[in-house]
Amino acid sequence: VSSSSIAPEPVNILLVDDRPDNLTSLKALLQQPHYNLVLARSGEEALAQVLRRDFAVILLDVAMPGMDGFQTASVIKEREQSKRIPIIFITASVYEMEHVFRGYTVGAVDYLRKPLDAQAVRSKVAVFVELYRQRRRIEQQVARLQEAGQLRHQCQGFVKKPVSLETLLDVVEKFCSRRSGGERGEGLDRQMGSAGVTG
Amino acid sequence: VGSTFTLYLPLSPEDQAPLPPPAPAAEQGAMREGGFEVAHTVEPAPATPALQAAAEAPSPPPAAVRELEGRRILVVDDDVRNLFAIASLLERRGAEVLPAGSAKEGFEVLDRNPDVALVLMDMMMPEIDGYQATRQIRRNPRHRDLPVIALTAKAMPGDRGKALEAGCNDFVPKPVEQQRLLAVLRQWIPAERQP
Repeated sequence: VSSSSIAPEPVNILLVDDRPDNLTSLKALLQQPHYNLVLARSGEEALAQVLRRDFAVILLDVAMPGMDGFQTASVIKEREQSKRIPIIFITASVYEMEHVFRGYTVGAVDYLRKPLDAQAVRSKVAVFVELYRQRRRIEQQVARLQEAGQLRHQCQGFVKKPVSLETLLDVVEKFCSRRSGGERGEGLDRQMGSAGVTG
Repeated sequence: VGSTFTLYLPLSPEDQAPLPPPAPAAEQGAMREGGFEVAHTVEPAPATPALQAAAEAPSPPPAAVRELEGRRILVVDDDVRNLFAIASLLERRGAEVLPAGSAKEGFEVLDRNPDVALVLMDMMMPEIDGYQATRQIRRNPRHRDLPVIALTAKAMPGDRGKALEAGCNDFVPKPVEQQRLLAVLRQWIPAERQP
């Protein structure tokens, strides 16, 4: 539950291309300590990965045998849990991108043109990684607020009962120390019980 | 601590639509085998503007739709597109889907997750097929009562008897029809109050 760790959590980035040499060069280009680069050699492999973990961004080659990049993207975007993952298409033809943008209404879609410009790849990916980290931070803060709100809610309930302030403070203290200990086990009700409070 | 904030408290148990009690299923299985037909119901596409706006909001979808809330379901299918489609469907109902691309991966997932509420098992898989996989699951006494639902090919009615014989509790024909699948899940996932 540590709120401000110094080293950023590694984020997952999915690289999808049917050609191993392309994957290798993309990987070399993006390699850095806080990126966890996951490789997929087909649309199907990409789907299997998306089902198993969360990604900050997907770099998706458009021209692949079997499921192409567009088909893969539309399957990913049909699923509630994955439709907001930003997708960067990698394509030789910018022309076909025009209608693609109109096709997707949810989640960011962008593209990179072949041959790839290393700086463009890095900076686009960095933007999406930063957005992802910000969203994660907000989610964690919301979760913390919810916990605080629950505590407040429960305390208000107890205050209506004849409970001494001392007992109440004891309960809150226990709750807080439990939280900072990293445990999220028993609810307040149980603790009220152990503090000798009866309804 | 004197500040006020607006937040979303978790739903109370009363707000969550409980699943109906499981019905005796052996007879129903037989009924379906006799060509029991289920009406087609098409779910509205999730991409309409109104639904999309709702999805962007921080509040969870209505409780009635999330009838599988918190349930963990293992789905074993070697076809990733099927896996993906089934996962999307179940997740929209609140379930947590544990995907497995092979029987072997399914066993591993089951070992690591003792709280799996139900298994959806494709019968036609390379290497270890669904029949063998179900038999192996049943060999573990811990999984004797774990509901295993077979996904069988529609054109092969004989597969259904084979699936029940292998230890499956019920079956859903492929291609999977959403309402049919949900109806079977309602039968086999016991209604249980959230803590």
